[in-house]
Amino acid sequence: MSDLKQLSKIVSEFEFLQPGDERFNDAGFSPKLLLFPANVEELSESIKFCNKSKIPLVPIGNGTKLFIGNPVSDVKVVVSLRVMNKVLQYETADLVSTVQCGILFKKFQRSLNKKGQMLPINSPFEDNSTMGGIISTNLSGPLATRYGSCRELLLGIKAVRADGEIINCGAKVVKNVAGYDIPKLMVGALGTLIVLAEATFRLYPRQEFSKTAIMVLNENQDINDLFNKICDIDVIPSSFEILDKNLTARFLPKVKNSICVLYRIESLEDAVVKQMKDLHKIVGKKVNEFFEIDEKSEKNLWKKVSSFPFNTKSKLTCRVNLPIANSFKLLEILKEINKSMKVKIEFLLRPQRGTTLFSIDGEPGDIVYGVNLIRSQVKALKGAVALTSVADELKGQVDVFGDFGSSKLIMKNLKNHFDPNNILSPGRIF
Amino acid sequence: MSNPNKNRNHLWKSSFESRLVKILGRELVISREDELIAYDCDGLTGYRVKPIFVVLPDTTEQVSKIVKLCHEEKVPFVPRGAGTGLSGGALPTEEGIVISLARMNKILEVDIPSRCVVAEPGVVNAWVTNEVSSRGYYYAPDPSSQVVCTIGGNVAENSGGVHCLKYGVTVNHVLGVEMILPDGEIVELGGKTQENFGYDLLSLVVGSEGLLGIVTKVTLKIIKKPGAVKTLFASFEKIEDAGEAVSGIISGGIIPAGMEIMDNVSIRAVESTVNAGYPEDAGAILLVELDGPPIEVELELPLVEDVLKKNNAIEIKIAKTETERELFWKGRKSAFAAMGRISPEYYVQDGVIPRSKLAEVLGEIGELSKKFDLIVANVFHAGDGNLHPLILYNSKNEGELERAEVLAGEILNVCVDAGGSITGEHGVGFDKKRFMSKMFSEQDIDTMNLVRCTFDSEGLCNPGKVFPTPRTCVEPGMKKFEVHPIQKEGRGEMY
Repeated sequence: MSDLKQLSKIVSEFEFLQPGDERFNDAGFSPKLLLFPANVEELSESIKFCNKSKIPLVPIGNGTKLFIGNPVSDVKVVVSLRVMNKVLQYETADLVSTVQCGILFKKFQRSLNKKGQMLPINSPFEDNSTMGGIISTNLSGPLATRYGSCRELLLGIKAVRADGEIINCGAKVVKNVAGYDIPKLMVGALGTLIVLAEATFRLYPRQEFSKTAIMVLNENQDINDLFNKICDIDVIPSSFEILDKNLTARFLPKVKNSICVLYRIESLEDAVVKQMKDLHKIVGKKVNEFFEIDEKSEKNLWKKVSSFPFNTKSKLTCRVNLPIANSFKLLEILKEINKSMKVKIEFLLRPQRGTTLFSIDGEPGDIVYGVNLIRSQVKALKGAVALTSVADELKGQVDVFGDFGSSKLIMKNLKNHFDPNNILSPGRIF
Repeated sequence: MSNPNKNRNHLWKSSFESRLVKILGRELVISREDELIAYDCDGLTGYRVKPIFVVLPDTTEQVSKIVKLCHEEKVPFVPRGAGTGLSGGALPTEEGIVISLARMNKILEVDIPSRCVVAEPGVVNAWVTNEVSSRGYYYAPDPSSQVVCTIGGNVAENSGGVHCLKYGVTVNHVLGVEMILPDGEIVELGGKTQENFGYDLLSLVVGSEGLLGIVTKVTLKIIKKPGAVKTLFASFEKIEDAGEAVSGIISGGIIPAGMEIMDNVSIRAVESTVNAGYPEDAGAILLVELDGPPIEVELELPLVEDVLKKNNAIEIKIAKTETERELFWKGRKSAFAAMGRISPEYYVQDGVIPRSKLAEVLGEIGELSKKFDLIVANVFHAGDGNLHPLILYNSKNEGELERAEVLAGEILNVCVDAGGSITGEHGVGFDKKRFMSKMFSEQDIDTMNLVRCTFDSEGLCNPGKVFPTPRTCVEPGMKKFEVHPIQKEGRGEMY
């Protein structure tokens, strides 16, 4: 019996992919076998087998973000957590819940909302993403302004190591310092160190009322100055985003030739109403337009913002992390490149996080030149650029992660210790 | 682990000392026996080990050179901040040196536009807030020892404090570190950015209890001071009611900045020292602090009062002035020290339990206290379920210390059985390493060892801490450490 056949016998559900199956085209590899372990024991046994036989595999949730990271090489097996999709533990008074990692974010969120609570995450593909995928890719969305990224919410994990051993790390309580914080290490690790089976999250009360203000500005207005004024107000926004001219045109077609600031407050109703008034009083006269949007438009708008930069047809998209003050300098750089080069850039800045997301489109040569230029300028501003999606024609032409600096050697060493046979998503990061 | 230095002679020591002196100068290398005594323990005074030398570097380069020398000579080293830790994390290693970061105590940069401060590890926690307070900012983690404990120690222990219910612990407030790896190399992890790409090594280093290297520079996140703060306390006849009130506030959708419970023993101890205004006859008090935008605090206050009343609060007292607010907190923050009034010694643990099990676990601790015939005072961060049972004992009474230690272990058992953790903020250190196996399997601990070996393959950096049994590093892919069969069967344990 071939290795793959033997492997398929370990799990309750599996599927051999036929030649021409297109499901993994975006991911850039062609697996032959898809495994759906029913529980952590099956997951453990299948990974143990792969490790012994040195069969590389890619762990996935629902496979919505497989294009992120470097392309994996020579992978024949995909392990999907789709069947492991239950809420295992949920005690409302603890504001903590444990789920299997294959659970859809949407389903998990719904069960929390029923009890007046929430997991404050709004990442791209939120309708189809699993919790395991959200942890592994760490694409925090607009709510990160108030609640931080997934890293701040993950308390504990159950996982399977590359050698098949089942491990528990962290805890199921909000505060714990026993041992290294291995759960946080898995946030953004793209499934290269271990395979997540269960995760415990810190939750928050669902806010009673939400309102979003839109502030419209000329492209040349001093956005940094406005940011400082807004930050001086005694309000903690749940989301705060600055959209460039191109993105404004796409997300808010009624607003012409301007940049937009989106500011969302969520709290008790009376508090939101009062804080919106305060905001208007202080910045209303400094912007061209100030308006609040209704509930339905608000929901739609935030969904679009959360999905950016994956709701674009541009050939390349990136995420940039910079010190907060320097992120405003990046806006100028992007505006300048948009004007002076034959590329089209759309971008949004999450100013209180120093995070910028942008898409760039045009001729391949111009895109490569543009991204490399942005990367070198970002580096000088003490930040980093990572590609989040790349069209096939550009694959391999721009480095996905850029330079990890002096920590690169430790990262490589860590991968080597956790996965000595390099079977977990090989090549994804290293 | 066998000590490679056991047989080192006087000649080796004097040559090693002169090499240290060459790096630092004579006055920054401590070798006199009477001076070394000051470094033989940290805040956990029950364990003491005298190091062979203590060094007091001023710069990152000096730390790097010292660590390189230790690496070359295979000398274990223990980093130390202010030595206020309660788990023996800075306990010296026999035949090893202590590297004190106390002299590296400068705030290097205040960057308000990027909302951060760059500090050396010897900077005292409270200095950071003092530095930025006039600009309307503060550094959130506030361990009770914040006027003496250092940022380097806070990073090592992932320190919490009374406000971490809402604002998180140290790991949520560290943006970057410069650190010396155990072979002396200097690396930078993170920076001034809020997020980073690649593996999150920073999360491993924060809370690593000094086992992964020595942090020489830390970039800390600062946040805006809340526009309004309201502090109140409620007294209860029964501590269980106070526990229920905590759950009620949280499930009512409010996350206060802090929620602290003190039982009657603690109240009386505190009142006899600082006079915080707590009612001495109450079974327990619950201290609640709400902060945030003024309108939110204004709207939340009556909701909190309502929950307290529903849970049988006898009296609710809201601080009317800043002085009164500070007094309420002074009572809580001096609770440990106040125990000196009623007992010559105490042993403190910091197990964590799910909030919903507060009442149940407090009941069990009460039973254990009776069984062991030792008074247990309860002072704790109720909001996040982080207990601080203070076991009062007198080591002059035969067997009392031993009884206190066993009782402490029993309390941690109760915490783990309730689905919690053996430590919420004090760290495992030397003190609680024997309890790690209660919470983690051999495979779990093996996985932590993979992390340690990634950074420190020789096991020179703060050895003998955190891990319940000595573990060596093997090259990736080779056979891993295995527990001796006698240990596996539970017939013996190694310390």
